[in-house]
Amino acid sequence: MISVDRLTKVYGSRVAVWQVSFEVARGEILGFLGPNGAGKTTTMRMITGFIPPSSGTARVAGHDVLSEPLAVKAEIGYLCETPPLYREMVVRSYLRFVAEIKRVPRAKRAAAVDRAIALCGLSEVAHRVTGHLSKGYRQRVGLAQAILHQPKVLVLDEPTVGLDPRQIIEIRQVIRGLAGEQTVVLSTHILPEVQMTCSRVVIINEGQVVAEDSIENLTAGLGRVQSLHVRVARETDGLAGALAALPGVTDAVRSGEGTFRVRVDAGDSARERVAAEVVRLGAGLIELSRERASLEEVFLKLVTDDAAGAAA
Amino acid sequence: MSAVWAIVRRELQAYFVSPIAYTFITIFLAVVAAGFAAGVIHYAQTAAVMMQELGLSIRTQLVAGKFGLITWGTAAVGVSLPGLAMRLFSEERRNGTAELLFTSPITSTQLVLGKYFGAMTVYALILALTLPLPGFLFWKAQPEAAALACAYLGLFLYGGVMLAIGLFSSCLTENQFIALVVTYALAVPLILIEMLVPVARPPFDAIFASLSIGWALKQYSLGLFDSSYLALDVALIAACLFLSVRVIDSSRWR
Repeated sequence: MISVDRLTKVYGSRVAVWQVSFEVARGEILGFLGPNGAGKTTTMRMITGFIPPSSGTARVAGHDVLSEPLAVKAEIGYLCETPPLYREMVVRSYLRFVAEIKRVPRAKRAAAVDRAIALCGLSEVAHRVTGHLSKGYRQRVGLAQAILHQPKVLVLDEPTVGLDPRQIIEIRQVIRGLAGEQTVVLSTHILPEVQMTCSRVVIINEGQVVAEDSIENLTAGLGRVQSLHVRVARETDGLAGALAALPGVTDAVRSGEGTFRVRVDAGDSARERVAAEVVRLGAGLIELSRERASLEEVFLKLVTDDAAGAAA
Repeated sequence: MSAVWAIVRRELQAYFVSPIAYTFITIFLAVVAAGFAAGVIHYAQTAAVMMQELGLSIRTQLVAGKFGLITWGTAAVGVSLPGLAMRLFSEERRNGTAELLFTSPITSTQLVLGKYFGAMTVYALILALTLPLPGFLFWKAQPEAAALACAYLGLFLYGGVMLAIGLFSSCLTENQFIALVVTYALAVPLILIEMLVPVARPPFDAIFASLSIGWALKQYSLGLFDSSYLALDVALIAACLFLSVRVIDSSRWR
Protein backbone atom coordinates (compact mmCIF):
# COMPACT_ATOMS: atom_id res chain seq x y z
CA MET A 1 0.00 0.00 0.00
CA ILE A 2 2.87 2.34 0.83
CA SER A 3 6.27 1.88 -0.70
CA VAL A 4 9.03 4.25 0.31
CA ASP A 5 12.14 4.07 -1.83
CA ARG A 6 15.41 5.72 -0.76
CA LEU A 7 13.63 8.84 0.36
CA THR A 8 16.06 11.64 1.16
CA LYS A 9 15.58 15.19 2.36
CA VAL A 10 18.46 17.61 2.61
CA TYR A 11 18.09 21.15 3.91
CA GLY A 12 21.15 23.07 2.76
CA SER A 13 24.02 21.13 4.27
CA ARG A 14 21.85 19.43 6.89
CA VAL A 15 20.59 15.95 6.18
CA ALA A 16 17.13 15.45 7.67
CA VAL A 17 16.31 12.09 6.14
CA TRP A 18 18.80 9.86 4.34
CA GLN A 19 17.81 7.04 1.98
CA VAL A 20 14.86 5.80 3.98
CA SER A 21 13.14 2.77 2.46
CA PHE A 22 10.33 0.64 3.80
CA GLU A 23 7.08 -1.00 2.75
CA VAL A 24 3.72 -1.10 4.42
CA ALA A 25 1.23 -3.78 3.46
CA ARG A 26 -2.48 -3.22 3.16
CA GLY A 27 -4.30 -3.19 6.50
CA GLU A 28 -1.11 -3.05 8.53
CA ILE A 29 -0.37 -0.64 11.36
CA LEU A 30 3.23 0.44 11.10
CA GLY A 31 4.93 2.13 14.02
CA PHE A 32 7.42 4.73 13.00
CA LEU A 33 9.67 5.07 15.97
CA GLY A 34 12.54 7.39 16.73
CA PRO A 35 13.78 10.02 19.14
CA ASN A 36 12.73 13.62 18.65
CA GLY A 37 14.42 15.13 15.63
CA ALA A 38 15.14 11.77 14.01
CA GLY A 39 13.31 12.69 10.80
CA LYS A 40 9.92 11.11 11.49
CA THR A 41 7.89 14.21 10.66
CA THR A 42 9.99 15.03 7.61
CA THR A 43 9.49 11.50 6.25
CA MET A 44 5.74 11.67 6.84
CA ARG A 45 5.53 15.07 5.20
CA MET A 46 7.21 13.64 2.13
CA ILE A 47 4.81 10.69 2.01
CA THR A 48 1.80 13.01 2.30
CA GLY A 49 3.14 15.40 -0.32
CA PHE A 50 3.47 18.37 2.01
CA ILE A 51 7.13 18.69 1.08
CA PRO A 52 8.86 17.00 -1.84
CA PRO A 53 11.86 14.72 -1.33
CA SER A 54 15.34 15.86 -2.36
CA SER A 55 15.74 12.45 -3.96
CA GLY A 56 14.09 9.07 -3.88
CA THR A 57 10.35 8.61 -4.06
CA ALA A 58 7.33 7.13 -2.38
CA ARG A 59 4.26 5.43 -3.79
CA VAL A 60 0.92 5.40 -2.05
CA ALA A 61 -1.84 3.08 -3.29
CA GLY A 62 0.06 2.76 -6.55
CA HIS A 63 0.47 6.50 -7.14
CA ASP A 64 3.81 8.26 -7.13
CA VAL A 65 4.02 11.29 -4.80
CA LEU A 66 6.05 13.24 -7.33
CA SER A 67 4.21 12.57 -10.57
CA GLU A 68 0.64 12.18 -9.24
CA PRO A 69 0.51 14.29 -6.07
CA LEU A 70 -3.24 14.90 -6.22
CA ALA A 71 -4.05 11.19 -6.57
CA VAL A 72 -1.83 10.44 -3.57
CA LYS A 73 -3.40 13.21 -1.50
CA ALA A 74 -6.88 11.89 -2.28
CA GLU A 75 -5.91 8.51 -0.78
CA ILE A 76 -4.27 9.85 2.39
CA GLY A 77 -5.63 11.08 5.67
CA TYR A 78 -3.00 13.02 7.56
CA LEU A 79 -2.90 14.17 11.13
CA CYS A 80 0.10 16.42 11.59
CA GLU A 81 1.84 17.10 14.90
CA THR A 82 -0.48 19.95 15.86
CA PRO A 83 -4.03 19.30 14.66
CA PRO A 84 -4.66 21.65 11.72
CA LEU A 85 -7.73 23.38 13.13
CA TYR A 86 -9.31 26.69 12.26
CA ARG A 87 -9.77 28.04 15.74
CA GLU A 88 -12.80 30.14 14.92
CA MET A 89 -14.78 27.29 13.34
CA VAL A 90 -17.36 25.04 14.93
CA VAL A 91 -16.34 21.35 14.90
CA ARG A 92 -19.11 20.26 12.55
CA SER A 93 -18.64 23.02 10.00
CA TYR A 94 -14.88 22.50 10.15
CA LEU A 95 -15.36 18.83 9.26
CA ARG A 96 -17.79 19.79 6.51
CA PHE A 97 -15.14 22.09 5.05
CA VAL A 98 -12.57 19.28 5.19
CA ALA A 99 -15.07 16.97 3.44
CA GLU A 100 -15.37 19.51 0.63
CA ILE A 101 -11.65 19.96 0.05
CA LYS A 102 -11.06 16.19 0.34
CA ARG A 103 -13.50 15.71 -2.53
CA VAL A 104 -16.15 13.77 -0.65
CA PRO A 105 -19.15 13.74 -3.01
CA ARG A 106 -21.83 16.22 -1.98
CA ALA A 107 -24.42 13.52 -1.29
CA LYS A 108 -22.10 11.65 1.09
CA ARG A 109 -20.71 14.63 3.02
CA ALA A 110 -23.21 14.71 5.86
CA ALA A 111 -22.85 10.95 6.43
CA ALA A 112 -19.06 11.15 6.35
CA VAL A 113 -19.06 13.97 8.92
CA ASP A 114 -21.47 12.06 11.17
CA ARG A 115 -19.37 8.90 10.94
CA ALA A 116 -16.15 10.73 11.86
CA ILE A 117 -17.88 12.48 14.76
CA ALA A 118 -19.21 9.17 16.06
CA LEU A 119 -15.92 7.27 15.63
CA CYS A 120 -13.88 9.91 17.42
CA GLY A 121 -16.42 10.49 20.17
CA LEU A 122 -17.08 14.10 19.28
CA SER A 123 -20.86 14.23 19.41
CA GLU A 124 -20.82 16.21 22.66
CA VAL A 125 -18.63 18.97 21.24
CA ALA A 126 -19.86 18.97 17.63
CA HIS A 127 -21.37 22.42 18.05
CA ARG A 128 -18.47 24.02 19.87
CA VAL A 129 -15.73 26.23 18.49
CA THR A 130 -12.52 24.24 17.99
CA GLY A 131 -10.37 26.95 19.60
CA HIS A 132 -12.22 26.48 22.89
CA LEU A 133 -11.78 22.71 23.08
CA SER A 134 -9.38 20.92 25.41
CA LYS A 135 -6.21 19.49 23.94
CA GLY A 136 -7.64 15.98 24.00
CA TYR A 137 -10.70 17.00 22.02
CA ARG A 138 -8.62 19.05 19.59
CA GLN A 139 -6.52 15.98 18.93
CA ARG A 140 -9.69 13.96 18.33
CA VAL A 141 -10.99 16.55 15.90
CA GLY A 142 -7.62 16.25 14.15
CA LEU A 143 -8.10 12.50 13.94
CA ALA A 144 -11.69 12.93 12.70
CA GLN A 145 -10.37 15.23 10.00
CA ALA A 146 -7.88 12.56 8.91
CA ILE A 147 -10.34 9.64 8.72
CA LEU A 148 -13.22 11.70 7.34
CA HIS A 149 -12.96 10.75 3.66
CA GLN A 150 -12.18 7.11 4.50
CA PRO A 151 -8.75 7.23 2.95
CA LYS A 152 -6.90 4.02 2.14
CA VAL A 153 -3.90 5.27 4.07
CA LEU A 154 -3.72 7.09 7.37
CA VAL A 155 -0.59 8.94 8.35
CA LEU A 156 -0.60 9.99 11.99
CA ASP A 157 2.21 12.08 13.39
CA GLU A 158 2.41 11.54 17.17
CA PRO A 159 -1.36 11.19 17.58
CA THR A 160 -1.28 10.80 21.37
CA VAL A 161 1.25 13.45 22.30
CA GLY A 162 0.12 15.67 25.16
CA LEU A 163 -2.93 13.61 26.08
CA ASP A 164 -3.78 12.17 29.47
CA PRO A 165 -3.65 8.37 29.92
CA ARG A 166 -7.39 7.88 29.49
CA GLN A 167 -7.47 9.90 26.29
CA ILE A 168 -4.44 8.00 24.99
CA ILE A 169 -6.29 4.72 25.47
CA GLU A 170 -9.33 6.09 23.64
CA ILE A 171 -7.28 7.34 20.70
CA ARG A 172 -5.45 4.01 20.47
CA GLN A 173 -8.76 2.18 20.43
CA VAL A 174 -9.94 4.29 17.53
CA ILE A 175 -6.71 3.65 15.64
CA ARG A 176 -6.82 -0.10 16.29
CA GLY A 177 -10.43 -0.12 15.18
CA LEU A 178 -9.35 1.20 11.81
CA ALA A 179 -6.78 -1.52 11.17
CA GLY A 180 -7.57 -4.05 8.50
CA GLU A 181 -9.78 -1.64 6.67
CA GLN A 182 -7.15 1.07 6.51
CA THR A 183 -3.38 1.09 6.35
CA VAL A 184 -1.88 3.16 9.12
CA VAL A 185 1.53 4.71 9.61
CA LEU A 186 1.89 6.06 13.11
CA SER A 187 4.90 7.96 14.38
CA THR A 188 5.81 8.19 18.01
CA HIS A 189 8.67 8.37 20.42
CA ILE A 190 6.61 6.59 23.08
CA LEU A 191 7.58 2.93 23.08
CA PRO A 192 4.60 1.27 24.79
CA GLU A 193 2.42 2.90 22.18
CA VAL A 194 4.11 0.95 19.41
CA GLN A 195 3.89 -2.27 21.39
CA MET A 196 0.19 -1.74 22.00
CA THR A 197 -0.99 -0.54 18.62
CA CYS A 198 1.40 -1.57 15.90
CA SER A 199 2.04 -4.85 14.16
CA ARG A 200 5.37 -3.82 12.73
CA VAL A 201 7.91 -1.17 13.51
CA VAL A 202 10.45 0.92 11.64
CA ILE A 203 13.05 2.53 13.88
CA ILE A 204 14.67 5.66 12.56
CA ASN A 205 17.52 7.65 14.04
CA GLU A 206 19.35 10.67 12.68
CA GLY A 207 17.47 10.38 9.41
CA GLN A 208 18.25 6.72 8.74
CA VAL A 209 16.37 3.48 9.24
CA VAL A 210 18.20 1.46 11.89
CA ALA A 211 15.73 -1.42 12.16
CA GLU A 212 12.64 -2.68 10.40
CA ASP A 213 10.88 -5.77 11.68
CA SER A 214 7.94 -7.14 13.61
CA ILE A 215 7.94 -6.31 17.31
CA GLU A 216 8.38 -10.02 18.23
CA ASN A 217 11.50 -10.37 16.13
CA LEU A 218 12.96 -7.14 17.37
CA THR A 219 12.53 -7.90 21.04
CA ALA A 220 13.54 -11.57 20.87
CA GLY A 221 17.29 -12.08 20.92
CA LEU A 222 18.22 -9.03 19.02
CA GLY A 223 21.87 -8.36 18.54
CA ARG A 224 24.88 -9.91 20.24
CA VAL A 225 24.16 -9.05 23.84
CA GLN A 226 21.56 -10.69 26.07
CA SER A 227 20.45 -9.75 29.51
CA LEU A 228 20.33 -12.38 32.25
CA HIS A 229 18.41 -12.25 35.46
CA VAL A 230 20.35 -13.98 38.26
CA ARG A 231 19.00 -14.62 41.77
CA VAL A 232 21.19 -15.99 44.55
CA ALA A 233 20.55 -17.20 48.11
CA ARG A 234 23.55 -15.42 49.67
CA GLU A 235 25.29 -12.36 48.37
CA THR A 236 28.97 -13.08 48.73
CA ASP A 237 31.53 -10.27 48.61
CA GLY A 238 32.57 -9.26 45.13
CA LEU A 239 30.04 -11.45 43.38
CA ALA A 240 29.10 -8.79 40.84
CA GLY A 241 32.77 -8.04 40.17
CA ALA A 242 33.60 -11.70 39.74
CA LEU A 243 30.74 -12.19 37.30
CA ALA A 244 31.71 -9.12 35.32
CA ALA A 245 35.29 -10.39 35.03
CA LEU A 246 34.19 -13.60 33.30
CA PRO A 247 34.96 -13.89 29.61
CA GLY A 248 31.89 -13.12 27.48
CA VAL A 249 30.25 -10.98 30.18
CA THR A 250 29.79 -7.31 29.41
CA ASP A 251 28.79 -6.18 32.88
CA ALA A 252 26.98 -7.29 36.03
CA VAL A 253 24.89 -4.98 38.14
CA ARG A 254 23.16 -5.64 41.45
CA SER A 255 19.52 -4.90 40.74
CA GLY A 256 17.95 -5.72 44.11
CA GLU A 257 18.08 -7.92 47.21
CA GLY A 258 19.98 -10.96 46.01
CA THR A 259 19.33 -10.28 42.33
CA PHE A 260 21.73 -9.29 39.61
CA ARG A 261 21.41 -8.25 36.05
CA VAL A 262 24.18 -9.66 33.92
CA ARG A 263 24.69 -8.75 30.30
CA VAL A 264 26.42 -11.48 28.33
CA ASP A 265 27.29 -12.32 24.77
CA ALA A 266 24.69 -14.30 22.93
CA GLY A 267 25.08 -18.06 23.02
CA ASP A 268 25.02 -20.66 25.76
CA SER A 269 28.69 -20.67 26.81
CA ALA A 270 28.64 -17.35 28.65
CA ARG A 271 25.49 -18.35 30.50
CA GLU A 272 27.07 -21.60 31.54
CA ARG A 273 30.13 -19.73 32.87
CA VAL A 274 27.90 -17.38 34.87
CA ALA A 275 26.08 -20.33 36.46
CA ALA A 276 29.34 -22.11 37.27
CA GLU A 277 30.87 -19.00 38.81
CA VAL A 278 27.88 -18.40 41.09
CA VAL A 279 28.04 -21.98 42.27
CA ARG A 280 31.86 -21.89 42.73
CA LEU A 281 31.58 -18.82 44.97
CA GLY A 282 28.97 -20.63 47.07
CA ALA A 283 26.35 -17.95 46.56
CA GLY A 284 23.58 -20.49 46.03
CA LEU A 285 22.08 -20.12 42.59
CA ILE A 286 18.31 -19.98 42.84
CA GLU A 287 17.33 -18.59 39.49
CA LEU A 288 18.96 -17.78 36.17
CA SER A 289 16.74 -16.64 33.37
CA ARG A 290 17.08 -14.81 30.14
CA GLU A 291 15.36 -11.46 30.14
CA ARG A 292 13.34 -10.79 27.07
CA ALA A 293 14.54 -7.42 25.85
CA SER A 294 11.83 -4.81 25.97
CA LEU A 295 11.33 -2.72 22.93
CA GLU A 296 12.79 0.10 24.96
CA GLU A 297 16.11 -1.70 25.27
CA VAL A 298 16.12 -2.52 21.60
CA PHE A 299 15.41 1.04 20.79
CA LEU A 300 18.04 2.51 23.08
CA LYS A 301 20.58 0.01 21.89
CA LEU A 302 19.94 0.72 18.24
CA VAL A 303 19.88 4.43 18.73
CA THR A 304 23.01 4.63 20.89
CA ASP A 305 24.97 2.17 18.74
CA ASP A 306 24.13 4.23 15.74
CA ALA A 307 25.23 7.44 17.42
CA ALA A 308 28.49 5.82 18.47
CA GLY A 309 29.02 4.59 14.93
CA ALA A 310 28.39 8.03 13.52
CA ALA A 311 30.83 9.61 15.97
CA ALA A 312 33.57 7.14 15.14
CA MET B 1 -14.29 24.48 -9.05
CA SER B 2 -16.12 23.25 -5.96
CA ALA B 3 -12.78 23.30 -4.10
CA VAL B 4 -12.39 27.00 -4.96
CA TRP B 5 -15.90 27.65 -3.76
CA ALA B 6 -15.23 25.78 -0.50
CA ILE B 7 -12.18 27.97 0.14
CA VAL B 8 -14.15 31.13 -0.69
CA ARG B 9 -16.83 30.23 1.82
CA ARG B 10 -14.30 29.42 4.51
CA GLU B 11 -12.55 32.73 3.93
CA LEU B 12 -15.81 34.63 4.27
CA GLN B 13 -16.57 32.74 7.45
CA ALA B 14 -13.12 33.54 8.83
CA TYR B 15 -13.54 37.23 8.02
CA PHE B 16 -16.96 37.60 9.55
CA VAL B 17 -16.59 35.37 12.60
CA SER B 18 -13.58 37.33 13.79
CA PRO B 19 -13.53 41.13 14.15
CA ILE B 20 -11.20 41.56 11.13
CA ALA B 21 -13.81 42.24 8.48
CA TYR B 22 -15.87 44.54 10.69
CA THR B 23 -12.80 46.55 11.67
CA PHE B 24 -11.68 47.15 8.13
CA ILE B 25 -15.20 47.78 6.86
CA THR B 26 -15.57 50.43 9.56
CA ILE B 27 -12.25 52.06 8.70
CA PHE B 28 -13.07 52.03 4.99
CA LEU B 29 -16.54 53.49 5.38
CA ALA B 30 -15.38 56.10 7.89
CA VAL B 31 -12.68 57.38 5.55
CA VAL B 32 -14.96 57.48 2.50
CA ALA B 33 -17.90 59.00 4.35
CA ALA B 34 -15.76 61.66 6.03
CA GLY B 35 -14.20 62.60 2.70
CA PHE B 36 -17.58 62.70 1.00
CA ALA B 37 -19.10 64.89 3.71
CA ALA B 38 -16.17 67.30 3.52
CA GLY B 39 -16.58 67.43 -0.28
CA VAL B 40 -20.28 68.15 -0.13
CA ILE B 41 -19.89 70.89 2.49
CA HIS B 42 -17.03 72.47 0.58
CA TYR B 43 -19.09 72.41 -2.58
CA ALA B 44 -22.11 73.90 -0.89
CA GLN B 45 -20.13 76.72 0.68
CA THR B 46 -17.79 77.82 -2.06
CA ALA B 47 -17.45 75.74 -5.14
CA ALA B 48 -20.94 76.22 -6.49
CA VAL B 49 -20.61 80.01 -6.28
CA MET B 50 -17.13 80.06 -7.75
CA MET B 51 -17.99 77.77 -10.56
CA GLN B 52 -20.96 79.84 -11.56
CA GLU B 53 -18.72 82.93 -11.64
CA LEU B 54 -16.17 81.11 -13.75
CA GLY B 55 -18.88 79.71 -15.97
CA LEU B 56 -17.99 76.06 -15.24
CA SER B 57 -20.59 73.39 -15.43
CA ILE B 58 -21.78 71.93 -12.15
CA ARG B 59 -22.06 68.63 -13.92
CA THR B 60 -18.32 68.54 -14.56
CA GLN B 61 -17.62 68.91 -10.88
CA LEU B 62 -20.12 66.20 -10.07
CA VAL B 63 -18.52 63.71 -12.40
CA ALA B 64 -14.87 64.56 -11.88
CA GLY B 65 -14.71 64.84 -8.14
CA LYS B 66 -17.70 62.83 -6.95
CA PHE B 67 -17.14 65.00 -3.92
CA GLY B 68 -14.05 63.13 -2.94
CA LEU B 69 -15.68 59.74 -3.29
CA ILE B 70 -12.87 58.36 -5.45
CA THR B 71 -10.00 60.33 -3.89
CA TRP B 72 -10.97 59.19 -0.44
CA GLY B 73 -11.88 55.77 -1.73
CA THR B 74 -8.25 55.46 -2.87
CA ALA B 75 -7.06 56.37 0.61
CA ALA B 76 -9.51 53.94 2.19
CA VAL B 77 -8.23 51.15 -0.06
CA GLY B 78 -4.70 52.03 1.02
CA VAL B 79 -5.39 51.88 4.73
CA SER B 80 -7.75 48.93 4.88
CA LEU B 81 -7.17 46.39 2.09
CA PRO B 82 -3.54 45.48 2.86
CA GLY B 83 -4.74 44.75 6.38
CA LEU B 84 -7.54 42.61 5.01
CA ALA B 85 -5.14 40.63 2.84
CA MET B 86 -2.19 40.15 5.18
CA ARG B 87 -3.71 37.15 6.97
CA LEU B 88 -4.64 35.17 3.84
CA PHE B 89 -1.69 32.78 3.76
CA SER B 90 0.38 33.94 6.73
CA GLU B 91 -2.30 32.78 9.13
CA GLU B 92 -2.49 29.33 7.54
CA ARG B 93 1.23 28.88 8.02
CA ARG B 94 1.20 30.18 11.57
CA ASN B 95 -1.75 27.97 12.58
CA GLY B 96 -0.43 24.84 10.91
CA THR B 97 -3.56 24.63 8.76
CA ALA B 98 -1.32 25.02 5.71
CA GLU B 99 -0.48 21.38 6.32
CA LEU B 100 -4.14 20.45 5.90
CA LEU B 101 -4.55 22.48 2.72
CA PHE B 102 -1.30 21.34 1.10
CA THR B 103 -1.98 17.67 1.81
CA SER B 104 -5.53 17.85 0.43
CA PRO B 105 -6.31 17.00 -3.17
CA ILE B 106 -6.50 20.62 -4.29
CA THR B 107 -4.03 22.51 -6.44
CA SER B 108 -2.15 25.67 -5.44
CA THR B 109 -4.07 27.52 -8.15
CA GLN B 110 -7.43 26.54 -6.67
CA LEU B 111 -6.18 27.61 -3.28
CA VAL B 112 -4.93 31.00 -4.47
CA LEU B 113 -8.11 31.67 -6.45
CA GLY B 114 -10.30 30.70 -3.52
CA LYS B 115 -8.40 33.00 -1.18
CA TYR B 116 -8.46 35.87 -3.68
CA PHE B 117 -12.15 35.56 -4.51
CA GLY B 118 -12.93 35.39 -0.81
CA ALA B 119 -11.13 38.65 -0.12
CA MET B 120 -12.64 40.25 -3.25
CA THR B 121 -16.11 39.29 -2.06
CA VAL B 122 -15.50 41.15 1.19
CA TYR B 123 -14.22 44.14 -0.79
CA ALA B 124 -17.25 44.08 -3.11
CA LEU B 125 -19.44 44.10 -0.03
CA ILE B 126 -17.57 47.11 1.35
CA LEU B 127 -18.07 48.98 -1.94
CA ALA B 128 -21.75 48.08 -1.89
CA LEU B 129 -21.99 49.62 1.56
CA THR B 130 -20.70 52.96 0.19
CA LEU B 131 -23.54 53.12 -2.35
CA PRO B 132 -25.78 55.32 -0.15
CA LEU B 133 -23.26 58.13 -0.76
CA PRO B 134 -23.75 58.34 -4.54
CA GLY B 135 -27.40 57.63 -3.75
CA PHE B 136 -27.39 60.96 -1.96
CA LEU B 137 -26.06 62.62 -5.13
CA PHE B 138 -28.89 61.13 -7.15
CA TRP B 139 -31.34 62.44 -4.60
CA LYS B 140 -30.00 66.03 -4.64
CA ALA B 141 -28.54 66.33 -8.16
CA GLN B 142 -28.38 64.57 -11.49
CA PRO B 143 -24.97 62.89 -11.80
CA GLU B 144 -24.22 60.73 -14.82
CA ALA B 145 -24.94 57.16 -13.84
CA ALA B 146 -22.57 55.65 -16.41
CA ALA B 147 -19.67 57.85 -15.27
CA LEU B 148 -20.32 56.91 -11.67
CA ALA B 149 -20.45 53.22 -12.55
CA CYS B 150 -17.16 53.62 -14.42
CA ALA B 151 -15.60 55.28 -11.37
CA TYR B 152 -16.79 52.43 -9.17
CA LEU B 153 -15.39 49.86 -11.60
CA GLY B 154 -12.07 51.70 -11.40
CA LEU B 155 -12.12 51.67 -7.63
CA PHE B 156 -13.04 47.98 -7.60
CA LEU B 157 -10.11 47.10 -9.86
CA TYR B 158 -7.77 49.38 -7.90
CA GLY B 159 -8.66 47.53 -4.72
CA GLY B 160 -8.38 44.26 -6.63
CA VAL B 161 -4.75 45.06 -7.45
CA MET B 162 -4.12 45.97 -3.82
CA LEU B 163 -5.62 42.68 -2.59
CA ALA B 164 -3.63 40.69 -5.14
CA ILE B 165 -0.41 42.34 -3.97
CA GLY B 166 -1.43 41.67 -0.37
CA LEU B 167 -2.15 38.02 -1.17
CA PHE B 168 1.24 37.65 -2.81
CA SER B 169 3.01 39.25 0.18
CA SER B 170 1.10 36.98 2.51
CA CYS B 171 2.50 33.93 0.69
CA LEU B 172 6.03 35.05 1.47
CA THR B 173 5.93 34.95 5.26
CA GLU B 174 4.08 33.52 8.22
CA ASN B 175 4.35 36.90 9.94
CA GLN B 176 1.30 39.02 9.17
CA PHE B 177 3.05 42.27 9.99
CA ILE B 178 5.87 41.55 7.55
CA ALA B 179 3.23 40.67 4.95
CA LEU B 180 1.63 44.07 5.55
CA VAL B 181 4.92 45.94 5.20
CA VAL B 182 5.81 44.06 2.02
CA THR B 183 2.39 44.90 0.58
CA TYR B 184 3.05 48.60 1.07
CA ALA B 185 6.59 48.30 -0.26
CA LEU B 186 5.21 46.76 -3.47
CA ALA B 187 2.12 48.95 -3.84
CA VAL B 188 3.57 52.39 -3.05
CA PRO B 189 5.77 52.61 -6.19
CA LEU B 190 2.78 51.63 -8.35
CA ILE B 191 0.85 54.52 -6.82
CA LEU B 192 3.65 57.09 -6.65
CA ILE B 193 4.71 56.64 -10.24
CA GLU B 194 1.67 58.74 -11.05
CA MET B 195 3.48 61.83 -9.68
CA LEU B 196 6.02 61.54 -12.46
CA VAL B 197 3.39 61.72 -15.20
CA PRO B 198 2.96 65.54 -15.27
CA VAL B 199 6.69 66.29 -15.02
CA ALA B 200 8.14 63.66 -17.37
CA ARG B 201 8.89 64.39 -21.04
CA PRO B 202 7.26 62.37 -23.78
CA PRO B 203 7.32 59.49 -24.29
CA PHE B 204 8.07 58.83 -20.64
CA ASP B 205 4.93 60.54 -19.39
CA ALA B 206 2.84 58.08 -21.38
CA ILE B 207 4.91 55.15 -20.14
CA PHE B 208 4.56 56.25 -16.53
CA ALA B 209 0.84 56.86 -17.00
CA SER B 210 0.38 53.38 -18.42
CA LEU B 211 2.13 51.85 -15.40
CA SER B 212 0.33 53.77 -12.68
CA ILE B 213 -2.74 52.26 -11.12
CA GLY B 214 -3.48 55.65 -9.53
CA TRP B 215 -3.46 57.32 -12.92
CA ALA B 216 -5.71 54.63 -14.30
CA LEU B 217 -8.14 55.17 -11.44
CA LYS B 218 -8.19 58.92 -12.15
CA GLN B 219 -9.24 58.25 -15.72
CA TYR B 220 -11.96 55.85 -14.57
CA SER B 221 -13.19 58.47 -12.11
CA LEU B 222 -13.55 60.98 -14.93
CA GLY B 223 -15.86 58.50 -16.57
CA LEU B 224 -13.21 57.56 -19.12
CA PHE B 225 -13.11 53.86 -19.83
CA ASP B 226 -10.04 52.74 -21.74
CA SER B 227 -9.11 49.13 -22.30
CA SER B 228 -5.43 49.92 -21.57
CA TYR B 229 -6.32 50.86 -18.00
CA LEU B 230 -8.35 47.72 -17.67
CA ALA B 231 -5.43 45.76 -19.12
CA LEU B 232 -3.03 47.27 -16.56
CA ASP B 233 -5.19 46.31 -13.58
CA VAL B 234 -6.03 42.86 -14.87
CA ALA B 235 -2.40 42.18 -15.81
CA LEU B 236 -1.19 43.20 -12.36
CA ILE B 237 -3.79 41.03 -10.64
CA ALA B 238 -2.98 38.05 -12.86
CA ALA B 239 0.76 38.53 -12.28
CA CYS B 240 0.35 38.65 -8.49
CA LEU B 241 -1.86 35.55 -8.45
CA PHE B 242 0.49 33.68 -10.75
CA LEU B 243 3.49 34.60 -8.59
CA SER B 244 1.57 33.53 -5.48
CA VAL B 245 1.01 30.09 -6.96
CA ARG B 246 4.70 29.86 -7.83
CA VAL B 247 5.78 30.96 -4.35
CA ILE B 248 3.50 28.40 -2.70
CA ASP B 249 4.78 25.64 -4.94
CA SER B 250 8.42 26.61 -4.48
CA SER B 251 8.23 27.15 -0.73
CA ARG B 252 7.34 23.50 -0.48
CA TRP B 253 10.54 22.68 -2.33
CA ARG B 254 12.79 24.27 0.25
